Amino acid sequence: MSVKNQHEIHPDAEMLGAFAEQALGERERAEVLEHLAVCGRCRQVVALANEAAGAEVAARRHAPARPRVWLRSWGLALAPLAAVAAAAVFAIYVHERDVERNAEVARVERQQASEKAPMPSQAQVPATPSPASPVEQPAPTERPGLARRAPVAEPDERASAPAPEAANVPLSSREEPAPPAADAQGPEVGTQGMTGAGYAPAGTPVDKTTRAEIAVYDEERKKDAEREMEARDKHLFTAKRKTPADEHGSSGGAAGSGTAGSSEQVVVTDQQLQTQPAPATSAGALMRFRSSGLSGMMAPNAVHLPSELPAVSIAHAGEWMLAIDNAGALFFSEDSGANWEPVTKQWTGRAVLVRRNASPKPEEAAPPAAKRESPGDTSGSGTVSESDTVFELFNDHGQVWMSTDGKIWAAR
Amino acid sequence: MTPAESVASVAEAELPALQGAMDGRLLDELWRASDAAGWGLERDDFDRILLDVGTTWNFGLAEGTVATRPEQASFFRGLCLGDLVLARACAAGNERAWDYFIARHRQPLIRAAIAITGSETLGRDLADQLYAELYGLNTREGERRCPLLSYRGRGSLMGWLRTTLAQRHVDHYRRTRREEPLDETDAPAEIAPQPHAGELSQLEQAVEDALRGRDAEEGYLLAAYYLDRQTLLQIARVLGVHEATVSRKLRRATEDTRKQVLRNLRRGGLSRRAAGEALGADPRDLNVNLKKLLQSSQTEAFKEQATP
Repeated sequence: MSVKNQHEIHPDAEMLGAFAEQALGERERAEVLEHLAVCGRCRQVVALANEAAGAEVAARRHAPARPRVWLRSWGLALAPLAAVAAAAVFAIYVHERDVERNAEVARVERQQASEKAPMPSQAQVPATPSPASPVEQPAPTERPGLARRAPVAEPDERASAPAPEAANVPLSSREEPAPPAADAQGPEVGTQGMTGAGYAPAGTPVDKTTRAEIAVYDEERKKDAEREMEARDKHLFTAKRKTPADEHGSSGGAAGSGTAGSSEQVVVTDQQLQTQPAPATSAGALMRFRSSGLSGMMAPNAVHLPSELPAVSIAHAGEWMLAIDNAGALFFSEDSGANWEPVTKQWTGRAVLVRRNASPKPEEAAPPAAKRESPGDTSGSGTVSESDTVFELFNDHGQVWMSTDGKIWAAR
Repeated sequence: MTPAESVASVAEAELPALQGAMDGRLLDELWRASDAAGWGLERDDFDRILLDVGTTWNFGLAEGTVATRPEQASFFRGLCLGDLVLARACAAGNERAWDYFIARHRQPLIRAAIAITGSETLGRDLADQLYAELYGLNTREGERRCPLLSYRGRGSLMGWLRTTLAQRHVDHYRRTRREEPLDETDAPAEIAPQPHAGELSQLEQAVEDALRGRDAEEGYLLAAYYLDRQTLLQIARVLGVHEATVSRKLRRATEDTRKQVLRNLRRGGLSRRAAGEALGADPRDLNVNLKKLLQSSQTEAFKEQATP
């Protein structure tokens, strides 16, 4: 039986199925189609087979969708990939945190180093009272906020501390030199004689360090100051009251500044210029004083003024001492505070700050402004005698009066 | 001659000659591509199967045409060789092939049978019956006969299974309908004598001539749409074209048939106006059995096929 004979009867199932699947050639397709045109039975077969194929397609379409093979295989690989990605993110996070922490630590260490660096030079001050000593160099620029609270090493510590030569240099290399404060007014005027790491004159460019870093630093310094003040409350103040001149005379060039009208006053030791904070009349005042972070200061409550009021500012040169009580009255002592005598008011306003500035040479002392512009010329000797001393008094408006004997004051 | 007989005859008589005529490298390529060795087929068996398929269909060419090697290669590459070797392995009783066949085709076979019969019960019965035949429960002349031997890779094995199911269902349906009482059959109405019997007879002859002169595709479209009442979508799926294409072709076939009837009427001596009027006659007045006319010659072949 030939194929043709088969077609004359009916195409077999394979031919019809191939026809329905469009799997036949042109010639065979035409033959099947010609048969289908005249054969209702085969048309029916093809139609039913085609309908069944459509139903099968529909059944597969409505079957629960399975993830494709490649998707399943990739799904297996996604889990470790996700884990690796999570680990990478965590590692980056830890790394970034460490970098930030290290940077923070480096900043704090740098700041601490900048504060400790002047100590050796200050310790050398008694031995080398020359104006050209390192402590008289222009103060390096520091953040104003930090400078005011910068710790100053205790005189005895500074005296006993070794003097690494390198400590004389790094500050200038690490920090910008301070621009001359020619236009400084008020309390900032006193900066001309105040050198040291803890002081930043007015007009100093603000450091780029962020406020957050300052806050961190302040916290640390507060804790240090509290510890130091606790120890000093017990021992140091008493000793200083007995021999203030010896201790302060041997002190180096620590610097400080005070804000007029504020109860927080500053002791400057590097040039025998001392401004002592007022005695703590209350716990809040004491805390403010302690929180100022200043060290190496003479305790204001160590003196007993005739007014029986606590002193807000104290300065001394040799055995000469000047003190201002919290009423603004000025008292003078020639025997290191054993006896006090009031000083006639020769200034306007209320006296809030007194401090000592080393007496310049007569020819140099004439224009104080000129001295401020060249702070290196100011004498900071720790062994300055009373005759070499120039006291400065600030009122609550920031005006300055000067005196060489503590009794006769002239407006500057 | 059954397919099995053709294979045997080819194997015994024509194989050496045909093997010499076929491209050995092509056979090697097909052998590797079909994975016939995985189903336990020998290389000689595989070559024999291919020769059987090629000679049965004459490599897809017209009878009497000698296929060149490229034509042979094109024909063999168009076969579903994977399904072919699976079917032959199942027919040979390979258990692993049967397991694979069941796993792959058993459920689709049942779903196809249900779709064809429109009933789950009938569908499962039909599928089980075919499955039993496929497994070789039927014997002829003492030999186990497997219908899978008649599959030669033209189209997919699943398509062949669906078509086989449809054939069995249609044949069963037609046999049962033939047993129905005659009064339930749709016999044409008796045409009453008409006053213009001459014109009507001319119209009947013109319609018959027009329908006989159509080509295969138009005939299929007209028969499937007007006789089988298939939808345009069903016809389109069978022909593998868009539904709109079927609609356009169907309209064109109808219009061409009408014009051809008019031409036949005018050729028979009617004027144009008379031909138009004759075409407007009531169809019920015509003694034309379109169903018989459209399937005239093949009806006998169907009867021959239906009674093996």
